[in-house]
Amino acid sequence: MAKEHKKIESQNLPACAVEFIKLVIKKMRYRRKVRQDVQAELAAHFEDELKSCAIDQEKEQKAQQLIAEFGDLELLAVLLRRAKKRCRPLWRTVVVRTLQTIGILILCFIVYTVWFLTGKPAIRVDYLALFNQMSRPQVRNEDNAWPYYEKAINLYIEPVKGGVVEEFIFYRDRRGKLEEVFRFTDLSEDEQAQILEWIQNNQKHWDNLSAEQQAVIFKCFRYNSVPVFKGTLAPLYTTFGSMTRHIIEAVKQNGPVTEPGYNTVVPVVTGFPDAPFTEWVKENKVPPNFFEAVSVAVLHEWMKRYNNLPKTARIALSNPEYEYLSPWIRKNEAAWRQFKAGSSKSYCYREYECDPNNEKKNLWEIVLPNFSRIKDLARLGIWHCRINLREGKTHQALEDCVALARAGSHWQGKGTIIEQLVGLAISALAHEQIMNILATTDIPTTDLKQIQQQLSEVYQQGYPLMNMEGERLAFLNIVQNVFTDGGPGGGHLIPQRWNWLMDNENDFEMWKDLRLLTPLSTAVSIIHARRDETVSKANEFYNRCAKNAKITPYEKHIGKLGSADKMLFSLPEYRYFLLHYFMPALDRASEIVYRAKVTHESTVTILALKQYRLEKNEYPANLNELVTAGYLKELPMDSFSNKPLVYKRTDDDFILYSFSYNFTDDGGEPGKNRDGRVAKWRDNGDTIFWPVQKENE
Amino acid sequence: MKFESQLLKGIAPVVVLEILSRGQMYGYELSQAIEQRSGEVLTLGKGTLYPLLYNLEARKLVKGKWEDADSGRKRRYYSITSKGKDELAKQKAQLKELTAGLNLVFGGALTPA
Repeated sequence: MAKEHKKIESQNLPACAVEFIKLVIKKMRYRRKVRQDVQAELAAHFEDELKSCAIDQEKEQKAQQLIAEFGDLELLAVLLRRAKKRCRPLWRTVVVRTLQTIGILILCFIVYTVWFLTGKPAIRVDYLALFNQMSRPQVRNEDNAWPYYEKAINLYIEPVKGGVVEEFIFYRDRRGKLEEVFRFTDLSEDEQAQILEWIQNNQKHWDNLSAEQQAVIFKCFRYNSVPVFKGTLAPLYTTFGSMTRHIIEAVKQNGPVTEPGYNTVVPVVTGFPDAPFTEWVKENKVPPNFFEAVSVAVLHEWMKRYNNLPKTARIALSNPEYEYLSPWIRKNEAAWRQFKAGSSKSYCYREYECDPNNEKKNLWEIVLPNFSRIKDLARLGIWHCRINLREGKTHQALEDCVALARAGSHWQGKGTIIEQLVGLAISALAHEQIMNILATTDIPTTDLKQIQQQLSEVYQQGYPLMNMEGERLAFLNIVQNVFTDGGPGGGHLIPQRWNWLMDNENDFEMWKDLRLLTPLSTAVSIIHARRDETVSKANEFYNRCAKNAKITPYEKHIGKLGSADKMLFSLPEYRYFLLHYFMPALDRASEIVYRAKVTHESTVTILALKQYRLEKNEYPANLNELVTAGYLKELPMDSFSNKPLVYKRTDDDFILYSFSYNFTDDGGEPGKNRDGRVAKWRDNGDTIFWPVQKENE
Repeated sequence: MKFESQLLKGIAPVVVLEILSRGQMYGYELSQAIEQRSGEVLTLGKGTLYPLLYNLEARKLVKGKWEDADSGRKRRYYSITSKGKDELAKQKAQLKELTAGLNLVFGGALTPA
């Protein structure tokens, strides 16, 4: 129809009429189909009007006249458009209006999104300075432990990565790991006999190696690696553990002992003795029956290393542990001296600094990197203590523990939660080690008295409770970095900024994926509570936490204050995900302080009881006697009952315990974990401080 | 005498409906018919005709449809709908009353001789 109309128009009408119709149609500015209809109708009108004209000139004149009759072109176009619009069916009007509304909404959203994406934070408060100011003590500089700790950090020498020292540390320091060690005694008698026979038959191959060759293989073992030659141009290495299992399995099945199918590349560790093995291959000097020889050495080493390894951490070091770890301890003697010197100082203050150009850094990032070394040094202290104990230097071992307890106290009661938790963990290590020593060693009264006094003096100003202010500043600093300042709603979350924040969290890969979905992260930012709301909720949470930190778990149990953690969890995650993500379970953290406080007081009490026993040949009937006799300044309080710890004299021993998380006296029946093993701070029994419980009971 | 005024514009829809009530017509035919049947007294401006037809169509008083004319060309024929007929009857009755009223005012001077 449209094409037909065009033909009519172009073939029969004078130019002025065609031009007029075209202009009217153009100015109508309406749907194409409608305009084509109107065009056809106007063209038909002109055609009918002009059909009586015989010549073109007459047609032209008549057309001009008709155009004049049509009147104002613009007005005609407008009238036509309006009239045609009225002809539109209702459904079309609804669709058009809907589309128009959607279009306007999309436009608004785009404008809103642009406004959102171009938001910038306004850095007004130097939270790092506030943080430093908050921790800065009003005492002499020479009492500051930090310079010593800093020196210790610089002097500290790490154990070889993946080496034997690290392995022994892992077994002792991870609860339950000692039991999992694969030992010769785990094999049946027949299997043991098979292994021994195989060693006997192949010993000759090992004996054929020169002392120099044997030494370099043993050196390799220190890195927990075993060289393997499989006709390649370079030596391959397999781990000591997998090689051991491979040989044992092969011997048990009476099969030939051949090279394992999987190998690793050269361990990238400084000092690894790769060169001699490479040289053997190049010069074609790989000893005959090398694999049998090295297998014999592996089995000997395996039996030597692990056969006498105790199954619980509180038992003294085995010979191989002592042999491997004492050189590492000796190398770190200077670092430990500095750490110990630092621990004797009354406080630890470090002025944290940040590159002024790096405005994005958050307080946690500035503070926490230092802490892995502090933890390493604390671990060094425990091993220093164990070595001293192994060498019979009980007094020095106890002093190491006191040094650790003092060092732990330096990070308690101030700073971020992580700092305080690290302080508590160091202190817990010290107290646990003291208990292990008391349980396994006879200590003279003088030492007991001295250690008790030193330990009591660690918290002269009272036991520091969890301080929330550092954490609050760190969070407010985050808010300052990821929200705009002011504006509608009091400032909004900036997508790029919190994406950056999440990028820094290596353990949170999900956020990296989310970052790729910019529209989604923008939507998340739009949904998130505005700055004012977020800060208000955060302050509410921290205030509640600060109040809760001052009440004992028992008081919390009887309902003195509502749980802050529950308050946090009740907030919808999509509105407050920043709070959910950055705020740890602070109530739980506060409870850890009370656990540490009870542990500290119980340790001091046990030291006093031990002295009493040595001097009076029996334990006191009750703890009051201990106070009356001057062994103890005050009764040890149980934060899980708000009463003194329960003490009962038994035959020639005693029991001292806390009610723990069920807040009831279970008569000294210890709490147990899911595996049925004795565990502290459970809700199904008491936490027993004495007698010291074995881990695998 | 030809005149086109606000007065004509007011009664133009009734005139169009009346003409169409006698048979379907296309735009040009309609403008011619109005002139002829009114003795060339009533002239509907071309610029008014088509918007008027479209408005009547929007109100569903008339219905437009493309058909072949006698000349073999396509033309858009307009015909009155039943709703248009009702409206025409209503408008006519009102006009009648109006004329009667005007006659009274003008002392019968408006009645054709």
